[in-house]
Amino acid sequence: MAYSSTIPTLPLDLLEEILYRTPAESLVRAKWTCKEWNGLINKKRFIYEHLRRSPERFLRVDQTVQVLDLVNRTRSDSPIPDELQPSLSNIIAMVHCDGLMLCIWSDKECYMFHNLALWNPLTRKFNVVEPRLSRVSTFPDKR
Amino acid sequence: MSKKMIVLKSSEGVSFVVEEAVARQSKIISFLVEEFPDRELPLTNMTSEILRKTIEYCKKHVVEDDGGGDSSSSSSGDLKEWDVKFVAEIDQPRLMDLLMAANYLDIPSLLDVTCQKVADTIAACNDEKEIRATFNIENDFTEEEVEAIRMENQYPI
Repeated sequence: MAYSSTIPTLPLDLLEEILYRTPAESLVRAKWTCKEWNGLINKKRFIYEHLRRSPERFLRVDQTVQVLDLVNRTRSDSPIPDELQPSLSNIIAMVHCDGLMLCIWSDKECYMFHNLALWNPLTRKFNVVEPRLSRVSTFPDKR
Repeated sequence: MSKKMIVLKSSEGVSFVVEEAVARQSKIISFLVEEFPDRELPLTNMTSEILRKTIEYCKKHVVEDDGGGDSSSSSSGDLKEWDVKFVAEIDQPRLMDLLMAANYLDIPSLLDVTCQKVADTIAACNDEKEIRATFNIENDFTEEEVEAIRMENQYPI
């Protein structure tokens, strides 16, 4: 019975222990490995625990978005999303929390109107937050 | 001063005589030693090779407390370096067995280094195909599912 253990035969809690130690950049690729991994990596509980165990890193935005680990001296780059490219000069703020970016930019046609989007630089998902009412200008009301 | 020794027996029936302090890094063995002193402990699901590796790790990590003063043989930096080398020399199937052994015997630090090594191997893979090939994992996504997921997530290829 030598070498009986392989990843597919590992108990789920051990697979979790391994994936908690895998950097988020790699999980983006790893979740396409098989259905079991996909289900696990997409689970809310897993995501929060992974975040809790991950070392703190820095986010820097200029031409790209860089996630910097100053201790291990690694960095990963993500391009600014296409949706934001035409409005680069109109960006009002980018606020980040837990690796997610909240992007606020003013509309080209109507300067008073602000767009909002939630962006995950690692998965490169970009979700525009649709206003609930036709006119919601909740951001700095310049008067 | 003689040290108390205990005997661990592998699945092949090979006996390993180990200092109690070394073996006690396993919480399970620590418990068994108290419950059944002076008994040989059979570890029926561990091969001699994996047991030998596990003991090697425990020997390195044991903190001797009978020598007085700073008797821990290695500084934590050296120990970390040693751990990295230790897991680097083990091939993939044996590493998995060692990981299982660490879990079974409840040796948290060994579980940590083995899991970390597997995680590093995953991180070194360029894509999911390489991960599957490295770990012998079957792709159980259908073509339609892959297509649907790609569309939904705009997965960069």
